[in-house]
Amino acid sequence: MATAQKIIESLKRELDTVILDAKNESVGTVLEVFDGVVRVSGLSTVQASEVVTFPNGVEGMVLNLEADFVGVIVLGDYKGIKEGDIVHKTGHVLEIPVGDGILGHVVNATGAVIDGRGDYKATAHYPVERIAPGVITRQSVDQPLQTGIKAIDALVPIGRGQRELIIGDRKTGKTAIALDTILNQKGTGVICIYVSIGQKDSRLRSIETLLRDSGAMDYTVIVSAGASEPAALSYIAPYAGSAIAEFFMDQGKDVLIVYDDLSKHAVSYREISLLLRRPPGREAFPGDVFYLHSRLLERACRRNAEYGGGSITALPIIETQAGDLAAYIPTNVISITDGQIFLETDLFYKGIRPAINVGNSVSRVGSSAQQKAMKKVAGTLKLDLAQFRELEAFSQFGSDLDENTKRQLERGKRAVELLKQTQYNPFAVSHQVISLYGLTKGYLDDVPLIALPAFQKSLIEYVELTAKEFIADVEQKGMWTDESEALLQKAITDHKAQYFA
Amino acid sequence: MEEAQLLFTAIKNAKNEAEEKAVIDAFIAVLQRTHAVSRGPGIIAALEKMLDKDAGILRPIITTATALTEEQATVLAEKIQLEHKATAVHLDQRIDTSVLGGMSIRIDDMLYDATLKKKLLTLTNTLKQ
Repeated sequence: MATAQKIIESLKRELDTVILDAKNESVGTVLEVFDGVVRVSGLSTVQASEVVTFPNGVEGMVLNLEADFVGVIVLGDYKGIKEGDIVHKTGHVLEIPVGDGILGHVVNATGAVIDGRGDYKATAHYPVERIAPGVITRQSVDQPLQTGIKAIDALVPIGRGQRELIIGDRKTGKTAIALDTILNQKGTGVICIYVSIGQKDSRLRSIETLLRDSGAMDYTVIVSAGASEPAALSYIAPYAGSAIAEFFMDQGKDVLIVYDDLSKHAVSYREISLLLRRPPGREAFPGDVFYLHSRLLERACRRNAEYGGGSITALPIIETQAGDLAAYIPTNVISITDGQIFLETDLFYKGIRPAINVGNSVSRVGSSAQQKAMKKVAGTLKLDLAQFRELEAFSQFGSDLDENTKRQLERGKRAVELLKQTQYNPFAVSHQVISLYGLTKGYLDDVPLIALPAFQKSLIEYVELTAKEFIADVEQKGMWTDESEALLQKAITDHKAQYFA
Repeated sequence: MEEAQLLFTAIKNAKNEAEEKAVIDAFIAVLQRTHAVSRGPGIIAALEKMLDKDAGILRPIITTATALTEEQATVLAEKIQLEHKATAVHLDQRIDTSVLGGMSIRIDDMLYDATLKKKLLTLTNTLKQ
């Protein structure tokens, strides 16, 4: 039995390396247990954010260091913890195991796989809380991150390394925009991380199924802290997601991270803070709720080549109540981010989807990352749409309108129609440019409004066949040439003649 | 605990037993006046620790699977006294069969765990990794 002998020898060798000698260690005693928060006496040498372990094997993280006790959040099931339990310090801060194998998995806030698809091999451990990269390591945002949504790529473009807030009431399509953006990253090399905070497990499951069925899980990780899990896990989930993003950014990759949503994150932090008896402020949030989000979103950046390149683009989501942008958390996150995409319930129910309010949406740094071709066709679109809204309201008072106003109204209607887009149907940048070129150059002015969506689809197919050079120029060089533009113009004219013949 | 610290300072500054008694009476009166009598035991426990620390008295908690013999307890107390340079050591012996063997010594928040249970746990964790 040479094999058995080998096993025994190997076990003996392993056992020889185990150090079983007792040593002095700093411990504490559980004084009180609240919902997911524990007060511990002792632990006199513990540091803030240090991980401690409870007798049932559950870990906790130190948040409050007070004169007589330590406030600890429990990162797991706190029901087995009782008064008098001994708490051991570990000497290290909270870390998450990371590795390339994490892609395609659904993990919880501590990095444990929860999708039943086996474990992944961790090649490194990244701290959950980390200071954002400094100014020396950064460079300005100059590369676009295509969402595949015409209204966003044309009007509120997002650059790699930007923080663009998606804000709106419930059921206005916030998550849909984030998911469409993830779907559109297929084949671009961008790694996507979707952080789900306090969402129903059924909803998470449908999101996972959608991403898996579309092949998007090959480059995506889902970090989940569900509604049934303790607030402590919801609190650390975005930071854990950010740590995973940093792992990929350190390899020079571009990463997109979606925080869905930070309103629930703030609520879970409020719960923890109140249980830790920190003084409540406005809306009962603690005083450091701004720092809670600013230190998270500051970790999104574009690093310069000297420091390995790579970027983290953040799409935080905030849910408003009855469109109130002036509430505490929305104003905080609006001021932290580099712009916002504002979604409105009224527009949503009018059938304008994505229900983006162009007037209130802005991208502060994205325009410098926008492709030249897109900039050319979408340059005046935002202004045109604003004028259209004003004229539309004005035209309701009377029917006698001059030709110019009528033309502007018709153009505006077509712009609104053209910017509508069904869910999970991202447009390639060249296709967006074709549509918007047709609109802004007036080629679509005589196309009946009702026929516009179908015409747009067939036009793109026609251009793909007859003006390949135009598509290649836009996709590869970011701008068309005079020759390829002439080809496009001919294609649009020919197709229009054939389509309405 | 701030109250215990103040009480400790006041007792330490007392010149004689009469003054000490006056401090304690005043403390009880303050607790009654502020409706904080329920906090009394906690404050007294904290004060006890401070007085012990000041006097160099140690009260280690010894957990074993079976009771220590008198001789073992004396030897252990002497060892601890020598190690920690304490003036006196009062062992708080506890029996816990789940530790299986060996002993653990806890002094304030320092734990020296040499129980069989801990060794087996360390072994389990190492093999798991």
